[in-house]
Amino acid sequence: MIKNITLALSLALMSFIVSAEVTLTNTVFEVVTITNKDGSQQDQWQQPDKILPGERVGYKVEVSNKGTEPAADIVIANPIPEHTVYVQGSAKGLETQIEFSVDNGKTYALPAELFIEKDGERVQAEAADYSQVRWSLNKPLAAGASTTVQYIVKIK
Amino acid sequence: MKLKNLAFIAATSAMTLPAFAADYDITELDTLFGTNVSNTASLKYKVNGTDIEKDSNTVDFKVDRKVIFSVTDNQTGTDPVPVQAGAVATTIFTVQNDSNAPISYALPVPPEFTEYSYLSPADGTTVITITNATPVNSPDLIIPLEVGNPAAGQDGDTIEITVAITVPDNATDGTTVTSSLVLTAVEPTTNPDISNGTGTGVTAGDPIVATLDTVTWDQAVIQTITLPGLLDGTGVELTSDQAFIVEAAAITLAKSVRIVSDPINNTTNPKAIPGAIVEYTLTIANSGQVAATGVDLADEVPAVFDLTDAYTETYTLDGTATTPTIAGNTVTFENLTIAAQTESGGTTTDGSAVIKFTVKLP
Repeated sequence: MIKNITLALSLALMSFIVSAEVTLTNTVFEVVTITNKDGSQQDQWQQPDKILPGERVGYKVEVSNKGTEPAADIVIANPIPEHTVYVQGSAKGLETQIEFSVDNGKTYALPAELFIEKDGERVQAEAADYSQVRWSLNKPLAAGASTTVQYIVKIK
Repeated sequence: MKLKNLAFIAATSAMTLPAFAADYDITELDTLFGTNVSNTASLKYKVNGTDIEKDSNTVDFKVDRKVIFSVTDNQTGTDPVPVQAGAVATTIFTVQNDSNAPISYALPVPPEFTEYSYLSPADGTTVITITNATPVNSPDLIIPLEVGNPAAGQDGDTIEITVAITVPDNATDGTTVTSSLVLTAVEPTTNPDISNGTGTGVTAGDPIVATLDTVTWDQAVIQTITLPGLLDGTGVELTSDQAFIVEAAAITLAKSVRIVSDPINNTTNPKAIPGAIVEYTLTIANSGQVAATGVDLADEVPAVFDLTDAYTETYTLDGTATTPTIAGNTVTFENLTIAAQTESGGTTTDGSAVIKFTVKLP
């Protein structure tokens, strides 16, 4: 009996320890388009300064495994903030499967498989319909490793 | 209706700035100034088969103020708009606030002979009239305009400001009169970040300027105005003009005299001898664009003539007998109308009236 209690306490303690060893850090940026000398344009992620309606904001979410064991089945979910709309094609993450939700995270699917009801008809969901974005890492995150996912929204 | 001067003008430089970027869609302006946008990510993973969930830190920012306002006028015809001397040149300017925040607008005291009027935003019925005699510190010079309901895709609130200029009676034909409206964006009383106490250093009526550095806002609440090309520290002014061109009568008078006949030579090379008939011709011409009405013409003939004696001949106006007023040696033709200049096939013809009368040398 005492052994069982000890084992249970040990498992709980281990769970507490490992849970504290993987961190998730969210950072917001202002995404601006800059023009290079050759006339080409590219996005640049900057510290947010003056964010106006119509402008773009990017979120970078870093997950770091600071423990000694690999973390498996990592899934990062992020709600599209209120007053913003997801920018089509902006979600990125190395070796991840990226899915979206149109029902506040109840279900997720690839863009081609997302549908909504509109005027009584089932139609393909658009980027503006997305309520959540989710990244599922394809392989465990090794101890000491980190990875970052990101996406961009536009301020309504 | 013409859209006027969408570009803003920096108050200190009078530099015309480019209109707002064409790719900016006002209907996208859904998010109000000061709105907090918050985001928290979540994580699920397994370590040694144990499911673990946790949230990230929460990141927040506040949406900044974007000031957009425009003015249109109600003039639809020719530009400049014709106006007659002595009339009131009226233009109704419609100011629309498409900012994502309430904005107030400061009017200057109008120049002489000009009045501004608008319906009080407070009750929508009281007509507020501002004249050249209005004190410069009058609260009526500040017009508050609320933002519209962007969430419903509605345009911003509007207000009509009537600018009335009294054109002087003696304004000459072709003179240009400009109806001008100058609006300066100022801090409103309903600024959300004034009301919630997070902003300091700015009070209602302060000019809105184009930089954060010139005011002492709480840095956590971004309080600024962002306009393409607007110089830091400059106020935001919008000007709109409507030109009027004065149409007035332009009267000239020509007088000539000839001897029609005398008792000896009859009409052949007549001389100014006793008994000669003398004809005066008075020609009034109007090269203006409007008819001259109520014209009185007085002519004093030499004292040698007696306009009331039996020799006085017929008085005519454009060949038709007329009856002038005679007082001593002055003959007066009253209440004449001289038609406006006309144009046909590229040729202009002045309006005119020709008066003739004859007298006899005693």
